[in-house]
Amino acid sequence: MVIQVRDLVPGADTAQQGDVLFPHLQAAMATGEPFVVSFANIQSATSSFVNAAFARLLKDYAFADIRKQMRVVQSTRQINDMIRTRLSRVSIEVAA
Amino acid sequence: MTTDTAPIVFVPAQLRGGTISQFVADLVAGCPQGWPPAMTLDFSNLRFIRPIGTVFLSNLLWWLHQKGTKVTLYNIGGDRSALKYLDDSLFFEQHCGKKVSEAAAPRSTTRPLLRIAHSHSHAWLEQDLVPWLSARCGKTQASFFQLKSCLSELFNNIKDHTKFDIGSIFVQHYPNEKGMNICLADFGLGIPAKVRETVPNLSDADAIITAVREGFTSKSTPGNAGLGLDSLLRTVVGTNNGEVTIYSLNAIVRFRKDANGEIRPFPVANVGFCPGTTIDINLRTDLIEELSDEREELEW
Repeated sequence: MVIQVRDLVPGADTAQQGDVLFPHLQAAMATGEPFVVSFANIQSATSSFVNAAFARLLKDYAFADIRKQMRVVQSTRQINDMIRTRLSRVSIEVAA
Repeated sequence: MTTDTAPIVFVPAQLRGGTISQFVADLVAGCPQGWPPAMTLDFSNLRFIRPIGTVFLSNLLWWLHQKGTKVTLYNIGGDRSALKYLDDSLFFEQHCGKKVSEAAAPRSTTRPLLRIAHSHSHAWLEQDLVPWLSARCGKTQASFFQLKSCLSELFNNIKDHTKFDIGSIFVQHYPNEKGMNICLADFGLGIPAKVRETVPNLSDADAIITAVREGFTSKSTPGNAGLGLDSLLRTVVGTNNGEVTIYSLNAIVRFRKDANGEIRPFPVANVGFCPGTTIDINLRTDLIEELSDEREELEW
């Protein structure tokens, strides 16, 4: 399964756009199968977007499970850093 | 300032960040009975202006407009370079409805003064600012994605923390100085007031310093991960060796590296008043890291 972010939202800039992506990620995680998230044609992502779309998954799934199932491709250094940093930080907060 | 029904206020000779915040403070002090219904701003003294002065002054006019004060701009014609700069920046077009000179046009070294709603801000950053920065600096667009993300966070702050949902932005390239100056302003509550909702009793300067700490959030909206100011400082000061100055209410705090290379706040003494928040970003174009436009996969 490939989730094309640009097909769902015009950018990864706001929490509202993250809210649109979140149920797609949630459904993909629920299958237990590996899946791909493509950021083709998206330049950057804000913390609000990543929190709303990705960090909320940590309520139901361990960070290790997300890393195992989810591949993020066609991305940029900024987007990758933001996803990695936010998920890492929130997973520590959830565990505390 | 006169005591007529429509007071005349003279814009100072130099419009830099510090002088204009003091000018606004004097303006506030001169209206102890509240804002008059009309006011005249006289530009006859103006000789020098920086981008921060352009954005700050524009933000002030919108703030006064929101307070119900009709402002007339006076002595804006003539041959002075500061007035031409304002005209080319589309300042008068925005505030008077038309340019002073028909020949006035945005300079190739600027993205002119823009009043932009949050709903359009992200598309403008992607389709206008990033390609322009890339062309001006001769670097890939990917080299500016981190900065774009920081500016997106600032526009999100304007939406989350002001009831007007609108910001003003102006960008000036100084090729000879190898500098890029980005100024962004809103006339919302102000960072100190927002921070004090979470941490009361802080001075305005201490509240700004608190706001830029990693992990600080006012938790004003679900999913709010903070003001994004820590990321702005890491990008502009930490990585680029540039400077960020934040003007908000009765404080001005400049952030730059100290002698040990650490990002430090330098509060400015004896400041005036800034309605809302104005952020002055100064990048060094010679130190912008060039990144490949090639897409990459996230390595966990």
